[in-house]
Amino acid sequence: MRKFLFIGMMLISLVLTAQSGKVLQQIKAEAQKINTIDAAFVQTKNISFIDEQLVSSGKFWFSRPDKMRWEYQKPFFYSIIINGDDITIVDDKRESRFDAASNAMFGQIKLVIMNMVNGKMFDDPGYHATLTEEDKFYVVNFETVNKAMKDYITSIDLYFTKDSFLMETIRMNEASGDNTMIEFKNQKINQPLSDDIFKP
Amino acid sequence: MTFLNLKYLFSALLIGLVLSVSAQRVVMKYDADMMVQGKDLSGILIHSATDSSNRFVFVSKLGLKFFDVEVGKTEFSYAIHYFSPAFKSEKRVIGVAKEMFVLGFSDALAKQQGSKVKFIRSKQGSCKAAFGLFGKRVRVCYLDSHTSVQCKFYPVKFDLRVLY
Repeated sequence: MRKFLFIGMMLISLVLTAQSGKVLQQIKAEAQKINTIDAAFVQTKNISFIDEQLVSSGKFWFSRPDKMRWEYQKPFFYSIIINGDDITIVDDKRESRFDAASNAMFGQIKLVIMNMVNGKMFDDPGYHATLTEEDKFYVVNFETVNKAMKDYITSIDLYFTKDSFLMETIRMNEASGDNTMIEFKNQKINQPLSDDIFKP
Repeated sequence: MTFLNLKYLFSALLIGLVLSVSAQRVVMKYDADMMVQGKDLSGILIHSATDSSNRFVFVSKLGLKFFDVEVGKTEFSYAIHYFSPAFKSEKRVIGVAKEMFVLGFSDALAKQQGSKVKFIRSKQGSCKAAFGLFGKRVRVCYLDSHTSVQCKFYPVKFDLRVLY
């Protein structure tokens, strides 16, 4: 009896693994079809010691292979513009420029943000991906394996809609116990974007 | 329920209410541009104050927490709740705690919260904790745990704007 139970459980586990592998492949394939994104976002930071949340919002643009503008518009103005290896941070009126190729920290920031959007995170050996299901979403949990990264972020959850496999929410779980949720709204996929968007 | 029980219940509720009011925290959020350990940092500063302590949490605009430190209001004491590994050494962590202690006295915070900068003196006449600006530096004197007066200059820049 025990033998049959064990074989049964093994079969169920194999079927589930095969199913989740198929879904992960589909999510990855859909992400690779994305050339441009134009979206609004709302960021909610949950801090462990206070009940209140820090809420900010703005606009997000992405153009394959390596252009991105992440612009906070409320309640402060702050933007990160990535154009190849050039990273520009505009904070109010102050502008700072960094080279992702020579600055390890900004290189890592660029890699994490870009890989989340273009689907390359699934192949990154720095993370271990597992799939769970919610009512409307497939949730891919990327557990941080890389030691240096783990000191800051323990895992990243990406929420993909079940109908379109589009990423709608990013949840970053920090080593400090806090988490940050970024929810994308009004996403326009593969619409032409002006090059000016990716200039400071 | 007897009258005596009701009396005790009422007293307990009253004490609970008084305690909750006296321990109430005032939380303020700022868009902050600050000099922390000689580095110019931009982010969101959350200041939570009680009668005896100031707690400061500094978060980058992307959402990553840099530090969460609680410091005394009149004497330099501190509790570290969280520090980003980017600060690397304990010496730097304590340095940040001292800078936040200074911020507790600073004009920037006082102006934002509509109160006056405090100068506190001990009975012996030496400053228990004092604050004075010298250009872009601040001179802070405080009594440490061995009750000797410590005075030091810190480069400071606390540019705060209230968020919502």
